[in-house]
Amino acid sequence: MSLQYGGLTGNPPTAVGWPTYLVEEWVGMATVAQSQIMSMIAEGVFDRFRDLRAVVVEAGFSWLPAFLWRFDKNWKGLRREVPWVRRAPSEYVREHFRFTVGPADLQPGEPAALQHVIDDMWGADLLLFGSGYPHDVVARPRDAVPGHFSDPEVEQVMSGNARAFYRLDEPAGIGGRR
Amino acid sequence: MAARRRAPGSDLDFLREQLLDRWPIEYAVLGPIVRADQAGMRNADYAAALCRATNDWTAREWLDSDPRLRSSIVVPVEDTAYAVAEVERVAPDPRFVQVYMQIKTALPMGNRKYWPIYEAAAHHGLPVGVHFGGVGGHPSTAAGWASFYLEDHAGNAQSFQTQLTSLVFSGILDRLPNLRIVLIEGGVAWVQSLAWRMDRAFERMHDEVPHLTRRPSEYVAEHFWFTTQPVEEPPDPRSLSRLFADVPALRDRVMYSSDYPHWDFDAPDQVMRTVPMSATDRAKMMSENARALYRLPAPAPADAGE
Repeated sequence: MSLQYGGLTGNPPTAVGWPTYLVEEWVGMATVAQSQIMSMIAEGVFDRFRDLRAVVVEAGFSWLPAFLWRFDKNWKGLRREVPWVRRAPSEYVREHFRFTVGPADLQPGEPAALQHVIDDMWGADLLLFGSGYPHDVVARPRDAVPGHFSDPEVEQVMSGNARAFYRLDEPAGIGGRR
Repeated sequence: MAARRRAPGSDLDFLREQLLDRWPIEYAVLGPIVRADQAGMRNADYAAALCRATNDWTAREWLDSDPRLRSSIVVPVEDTAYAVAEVERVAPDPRFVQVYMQIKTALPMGNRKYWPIYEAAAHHGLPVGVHFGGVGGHPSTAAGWASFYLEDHAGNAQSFQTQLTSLVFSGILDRLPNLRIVLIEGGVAWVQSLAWRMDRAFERMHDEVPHLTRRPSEYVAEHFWFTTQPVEEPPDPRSLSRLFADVPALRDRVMYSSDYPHWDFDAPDQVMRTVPMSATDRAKMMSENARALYRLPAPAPADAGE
């Protein structure tokens, strides 16, 4: 499943009503992604559908560690409300979710801080290259990848992770799988 | 017969026993949750009366009885005229150290509807404290109604991010350079990623918000304070130390909060206990940041030996 930036539900795009500016909605899409991840885990979607995998597209990723630190903590305190959630939410995210790298998360001025964030989310393992085409196209694909990544990590983000996640190396064609 | 205690949070003696006397607490800032926002959605007169009564009761029953206590001015946020009137009425009492709102509002907090409340707070030199909870009339998440309290609780952190974003882009922080916003029970660690995302959005879309004179992250560093409970808990506590080093403003902006009397209370000697932190930074977090923000007097020398 791909969870792509955007969509309309009839509800305001924030939990506190309609924003004034488009820029608020753009920034806020990261919080919508957080709400959806929380919902899918709390409702037990991944306990029912153990093979389901989801990609969060164009909503950034650098919010993931702080979000999971809070979600895991709350799960420890409230897990009796959702007994079907058998493991810490962060474990579901690690197993079931991937995120496209968005330029929004790459701060050229703060490479050390970005490295800390990525260290706190299992390194390059969850990141997939996303071009943003035709909206927010990066000039060079390498610019979409954190500057401190080693060559093997760049390879992971640019192809290896997507290859594994989308099973691109399996036999092609409808009916070819399994 | 032993005196009967009322519920935690509604009984001063019980508060002293459970919190104020049990730890060396110099000041405690009360945050009455009266649901005036909920009432005010439909009945502004009732909401205003409820707020007036709450503030008067707080002064008489709590602040008059214990010199350690300070409190927050509750206002009917959805009726701006009443809210401003209540700030004007109560602000002269220096024991009320902030104007109080709940994070769930009918419109994002940067909306001009609320600006007169911020103007009144700034005029009196009071921060605006924004606490977890409230009722704005919208689904509990930006993606609709959540099924579980777990989602509601952890999801409040997303509402805090939305409100900070709205305040930054609204332009109110240029209009009121001394406005200080305290985000209470909303977490801390998300602020770095959010500031990055806002700066990036501003680069692309600044034409839409030409009233901003600086980058969003600069407003964040200058105007926002945060409280500890429920601070994010990374598997490796050093992650938080690194965050505080990467976002140096946090050292001056994060304040201990207990959330007494709720289930997820943090004791003063337990909060961020495993997070490596200098004694100076810990003292800032536990008392000095709040002392500066709320202008709380330092202990008199005569008290030092007590």
